[in-house]
Amino acid sequence: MQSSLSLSLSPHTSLTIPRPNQSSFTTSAKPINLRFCGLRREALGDFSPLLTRRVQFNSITARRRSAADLGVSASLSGGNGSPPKSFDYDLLIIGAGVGGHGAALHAVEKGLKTGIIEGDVVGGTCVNRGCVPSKALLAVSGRMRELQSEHHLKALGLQVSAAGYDRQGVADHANNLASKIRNNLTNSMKAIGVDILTGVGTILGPQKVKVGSDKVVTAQNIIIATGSVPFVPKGIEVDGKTVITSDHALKLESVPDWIAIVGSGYIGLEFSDVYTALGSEVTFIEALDQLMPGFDPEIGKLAQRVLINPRKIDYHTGVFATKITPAKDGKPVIIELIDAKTKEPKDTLEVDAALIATGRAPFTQGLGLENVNVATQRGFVPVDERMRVIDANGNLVPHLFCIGDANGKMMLAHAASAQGISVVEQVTGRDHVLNHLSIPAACFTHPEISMVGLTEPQAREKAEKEGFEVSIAKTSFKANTKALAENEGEGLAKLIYRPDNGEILGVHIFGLHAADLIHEASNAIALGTRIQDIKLAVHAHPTLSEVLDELFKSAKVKAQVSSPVNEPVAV
Amino acid sequence: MASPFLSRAPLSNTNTNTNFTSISFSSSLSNSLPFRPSSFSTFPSKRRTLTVRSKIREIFMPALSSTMTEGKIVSWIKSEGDILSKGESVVVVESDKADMDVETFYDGILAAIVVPEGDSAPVGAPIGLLAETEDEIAEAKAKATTASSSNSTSPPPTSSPAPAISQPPPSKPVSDSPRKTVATPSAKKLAKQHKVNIESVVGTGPFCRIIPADIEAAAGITPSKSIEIKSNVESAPPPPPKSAASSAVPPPIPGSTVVPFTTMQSAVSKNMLESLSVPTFRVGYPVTTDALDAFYEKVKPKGVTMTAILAKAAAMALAQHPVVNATCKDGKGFTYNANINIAVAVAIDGGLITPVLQDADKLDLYLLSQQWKELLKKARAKQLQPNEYNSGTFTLSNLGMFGVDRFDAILPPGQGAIMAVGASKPTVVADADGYFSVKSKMLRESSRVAALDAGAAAILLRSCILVQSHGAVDINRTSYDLRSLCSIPALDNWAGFGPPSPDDRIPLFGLVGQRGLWGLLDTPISSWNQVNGVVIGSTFIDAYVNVTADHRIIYGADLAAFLQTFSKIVENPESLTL
Repeated sequence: MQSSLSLSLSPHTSLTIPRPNQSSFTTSAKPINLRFCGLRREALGDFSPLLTRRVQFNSITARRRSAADLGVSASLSGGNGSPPKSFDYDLLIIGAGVGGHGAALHAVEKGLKTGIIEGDVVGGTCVNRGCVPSKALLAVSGRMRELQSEHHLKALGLQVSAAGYDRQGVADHANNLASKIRNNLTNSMKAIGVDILTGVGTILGPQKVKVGSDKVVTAQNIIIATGSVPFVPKGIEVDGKTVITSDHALKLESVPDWIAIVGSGYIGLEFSDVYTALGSEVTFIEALDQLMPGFDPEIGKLAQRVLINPRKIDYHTGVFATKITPAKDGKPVIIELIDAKTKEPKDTLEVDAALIATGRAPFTQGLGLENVNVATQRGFVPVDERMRVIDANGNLVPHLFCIGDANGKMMLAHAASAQGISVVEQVTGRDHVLNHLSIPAACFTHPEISMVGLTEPQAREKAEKEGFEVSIAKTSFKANTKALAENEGEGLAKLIYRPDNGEILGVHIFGLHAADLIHEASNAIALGTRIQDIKLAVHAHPTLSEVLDELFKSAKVKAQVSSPVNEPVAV
Repeated sequence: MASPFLSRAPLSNTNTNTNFTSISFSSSLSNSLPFRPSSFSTFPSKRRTLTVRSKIREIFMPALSSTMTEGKIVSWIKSEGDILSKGESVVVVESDKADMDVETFYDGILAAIVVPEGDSAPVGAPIGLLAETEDEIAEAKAKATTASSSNSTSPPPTSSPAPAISQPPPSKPVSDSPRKTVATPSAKKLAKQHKVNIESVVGTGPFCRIIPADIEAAAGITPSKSIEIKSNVESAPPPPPKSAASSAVPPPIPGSTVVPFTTMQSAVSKNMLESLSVPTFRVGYPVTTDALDAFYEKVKPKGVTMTAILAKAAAMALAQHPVVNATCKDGKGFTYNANINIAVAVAIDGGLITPVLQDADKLDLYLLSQQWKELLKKARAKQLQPNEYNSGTFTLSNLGMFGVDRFDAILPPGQGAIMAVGASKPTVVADADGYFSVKSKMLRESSRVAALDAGAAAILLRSCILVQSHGAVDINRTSYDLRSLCSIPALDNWAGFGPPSPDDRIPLFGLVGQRGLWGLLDTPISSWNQVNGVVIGSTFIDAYVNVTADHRIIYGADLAAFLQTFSKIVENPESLTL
């Protein structure tokens, strides 16, 4: 909204760029120097765009002081006589990762002149050091697991003599995949005319960014999408050989006999899948009392039963790794553990390697945020629900947005992309608030884990607060024909919902192709589809998707089907 | 469903609780093992008079499959303090085959969890305590703590070898300071699985850590081959010999292929090894089956199978000799089984399974036959439910149809006796008048009424015995020097004919396995002297029945008596239909 009003901090840059989709605004508003005041951000957020605009226009009595409180002032082109300024770009994105890429593609579709700055390689973490190469390794680990599971093969009537692998070949596969996707990404942007500016981007001031050492570009709106780097707690010495982060691990330069993985979240879990499939033994070190703390407890339990317990994995929970010394002078990697609560020394581990998978830290240093009076919080750029950057005084910084890992809202590649698209929607005149509860997440172990929305404890907490009832429905992959045909009956799908109105609060899946199955649920949440309606939808038989079909059908919803009866279609 | 060989789950009523002074009633919670009150008079009455004094019940680790020796608690569905109602799932137990929800048979409160999630407990061990009222929770909790503390303080099983002594000293001297034990995750898992005290194992891995091979060596098992997955390319230095244990296994002969066991075959293998721990003995008995054969011919059109007949006969005999139907569970007493469930060994594709004819003594022959056909169908489709293959109390193994005349069976763990039935075959017997006759089913079938003179019959008799006792007669010879017969003392003066003359020669024809005798009898009798012929009368056919039994509970006389009864029933098969 502010963007459509062409808000600006500095009076001399008051301007607007006429756009077709601003017509409703420009026609309804008189060309007058606008200031608004007294409206807190929260209040603004609660209004519909139209209503907000009206309120803003009705607040003509605004004084400069109150406008300064918000850190914004507004002016319309011609309204105060200042000439329209032309920018190098309508939209400039700092960081060409998956978030920036998603935003750039959508911006071009919306007719914006778009530039994207990349200081490293196009594709960012996901493509180069994250999701993409890890999927290559996991594809290998999945096949290795199948080939090693004599029991499973025998059950299918297959005979395989021996499974082996070539480490360099596996590493090359991951690397090749990353460069392939990187090229695809680069080409997809080039093809539609996105300018790719190479160099480190630094914000010099409002709407102004330095690229590399000397080039300065201006843009109507700027999106920070600089992503994150592996977080390494202090006391841990990363040497890149025996004490490594995911960045190193994805290169698969070695397969240690025994590797400790610090952190049992998505990254740690996926790597445990890879390493154990390639013959390593794994020891998890988890600060919380339970492994896989982010997952729904029930799914976590099942996952532990399938992904941890039968494998060559042990674990230490409720401990911090305070000191990790790389292997040197003929000594192994030494890990000192303390109790997470009492802080007393607990144990010392000697392993061949340690992978630090304790999460990711935002990559926002050197971004020049101080030039727009923005103070990061633990490195994260503070934003509101519309990804608008908030400055040190709690005010919105006009024309500046931050998406993806750098804002820390939801550190997932597709979340960053969705946030970027949401920002583009806003700056092109359509208000949009991304529902983060509709963003699915997946862990690509074998079998996979996926989830969307709330976990059961979260849902129960919410229900308690808001006074509604929560119900749970579950289905097993053991009842699914396709899963049994694959001899992969181990799995569970869980639905958390409101029995009164059929709202889907969360869906959690553990089982074959769970990551692909979750979208039916995430789409339903995003579109507000209710269970009583979706349960009537038809699924092809026999497919794994029927797991969700069963799940929806087993839910007991009091509300009636809300969709009208369609016209009969002759077939 | 994978199936075990010849075994059965312990029956719940036989859970003799060693703490029964403090806890008066015990029950397995397994839904597949319903509580069966004993109906035997021989059942020690002491156990039955145990009334429910205290209201605290133990929840036992159930036997979910016949091969299950211990189970792992996957998760407790209920938490301590939860109110349970009969039939509710309480705990998920992981057996060697599947995860199963275990239900409670009683209402009550889950007072204490003795074995936490992720831990294992042997079958029959208490895993939780069920209190009837809230007041008893504290009492149950106290019990639980004593139970778990006594568990933890108990020394490791003495059966595990003391590996530290037999181990070579570590190749590399370690620093002087006392080192903590470093073992890899899978070494720890293996140690737990094989009950090896990891502290006593000396590691031979990198940095002197304990690796799986060390545990395997300590446990005296051959290393599992599937463990070694290594990069093909990076094994530039040739891998050093892993451990003494692995080098002890001779290398496979070139060209040989290794086909790993299926689950069913593994279960068979495990059961067979386990059977070695039971002191067994064998008693053989010839059973005349003429009447049985005739009976079978009669009832066959009504759908009665030979298996059902044999099972029914065995069950009827067992009803009179309950000790043969008993089990020695813990080496401390007789466990009399309330039901007579006859397990019958069946070869199926790639394995062996023992479908069980339950209450075989009570069901009539026709029902039993019908049931057997259904069981067979299910067995072939691998759809038998656990209680359909592991609830046997006595096993029947019949190889007669393959022409095997006698064999010994291995006693499956958990049962008292197994009966091995060979093929029926014609036998020579001397009748009550001192006459001997050759009696054979084959003669009857071919309607050949043979008349033999005494001498020829004597020679025939002797050659029959010769064939029987020296099975390896050269079949290519058409005559046989009777001088070799002279050395068989049993032939001396047989039926008053005196020892064979060294000059006698007898023709032998077509001596091929079982049919040897037939061939002999089928030779033109006309070539023999037909003087003072003896008409061969009624046919007698004997089958050898060998029973293998657990000598801890079943003694020779018991088996002999049982076999006598069995023989009587078989010789008067009409009683089977009563």
